[in-house]
Amino acid sequence: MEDDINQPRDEQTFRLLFESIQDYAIFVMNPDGIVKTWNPGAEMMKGYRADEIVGQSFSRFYLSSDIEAGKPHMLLSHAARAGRVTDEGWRVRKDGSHFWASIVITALYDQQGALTGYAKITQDMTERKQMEDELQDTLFLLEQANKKLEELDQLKSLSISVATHELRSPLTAVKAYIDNLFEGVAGELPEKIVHYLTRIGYNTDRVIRLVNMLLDISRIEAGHMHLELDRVSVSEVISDVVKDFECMARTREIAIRASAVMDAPVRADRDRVEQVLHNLLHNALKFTPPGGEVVVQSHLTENEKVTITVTDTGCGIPPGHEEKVFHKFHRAPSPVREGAGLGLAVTKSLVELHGGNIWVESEPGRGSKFSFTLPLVA
Amino acid sequence: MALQATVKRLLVVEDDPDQSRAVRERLELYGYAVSCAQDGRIAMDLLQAEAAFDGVLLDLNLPQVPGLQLLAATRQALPHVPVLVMSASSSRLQAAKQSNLACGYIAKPFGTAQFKQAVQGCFGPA
Repeated sequence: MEDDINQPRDEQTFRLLFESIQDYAIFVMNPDGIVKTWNPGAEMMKGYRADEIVGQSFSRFYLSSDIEAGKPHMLLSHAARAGRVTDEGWRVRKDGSHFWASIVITALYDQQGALTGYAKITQDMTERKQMEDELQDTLFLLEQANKKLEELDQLKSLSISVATHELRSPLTAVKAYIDNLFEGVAGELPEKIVHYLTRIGYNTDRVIRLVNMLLDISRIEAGHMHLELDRVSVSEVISDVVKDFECMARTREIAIRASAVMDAPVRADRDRVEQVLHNLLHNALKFTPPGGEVVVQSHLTENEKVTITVTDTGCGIPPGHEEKVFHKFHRAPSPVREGAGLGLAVTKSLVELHGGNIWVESEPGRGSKFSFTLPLVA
Repeated sequence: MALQATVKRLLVVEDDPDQSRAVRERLELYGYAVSCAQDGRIAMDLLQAEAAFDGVLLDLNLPQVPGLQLLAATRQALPHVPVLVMSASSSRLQAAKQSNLACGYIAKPFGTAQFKQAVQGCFGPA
């Protein structure tokens, strides 16, 4: 009884609600899609007054291409089968303009289960659609730009690779001719010629080192640096590399020694570990004044790694540059201006490719201590 | 005469005339007898015509017959002749190492000590 008493008031409340909604177009259709009711939201969204659209097919809200494809009636059939259907797409207003609609069509049945029509709720999502489209366009442009950058990056790596290879060939000939002259191909050389050849040889080696570093950088950046991992004795590598620098150290009146070297097998690419030590010792000797000392040490660390250190009594690194010295082309202020600033960048990458770390502790005027770790053989 | 007969003969396969000459001069200084071929086809002709080489120094970047192909062909035709591979290209050198067909591999540019060690390691003293 209570329900019956309240029914007219409920209907009135519902009608008020229905007519106050302006953000949604809500209307009812008969089983053939003929519009039966029309709310103010529908009028605002689609532009038709109730007297212009009631009695007309709802298909007039669709693009002519959708009508030709039978879309309006396909949606009704789907709703009749499944109870409801949702869809998004372009729809047409009375004035011919388009808007992006998100719709729900719900099938209505009588108490016997016979289809009596459909309720349709439409929301204007044009702004969201435009934002999504703009986002898609931006994403597409970003993808294109990214692709272009990747292509340029590959081209840059290829160019460096080709250029360095082309530089290596003439450098091989120059170095070989200099070495041949020193070896006596042209007989005994006058002292002055030996002096000049030594300088030419020294500078040729500098160019070779630079070319090799450029090639290494391009390979590392392109992800093409492959390590030949093997069981490597730390003490053997240290001993071999220190021997390589004994002559240079003598010439510069610097003491060089391997001290407290612990022999542990590491899993590493021997050539690349030699290269790392070469770079660190070359730097240590370069920045250490005559009378100074360079010491190489190694010890086991807790995390199954070996730490190798190269300590010098050189000019040190100014505060704030300890991290930056490992950046490409960075050169900390120092009395020595030799080098392109690539050696430590390559060194860092090589250590990290092995799964190790590299860092420096330094005191300006007293020296630097470079340390790097390598993983022990499992 | 007896001494001359024991001098080892090496073939340098290198297309760059400067590098070829520098390598030849150095090998002659070490006491080897040296012939040169500037491309892979000439090298194959020389190796087949004069099967008297004690070793080959092979650059991998060659015209006509690519170095890696020549390496494989030489090892197949003359398995007793050791080959020392030289290259300025790390990727080619890596590929040659993976083939495991040569007795030694050196990256260009190489130093005197490294070159001498590789040559004597592959071919023995002159």
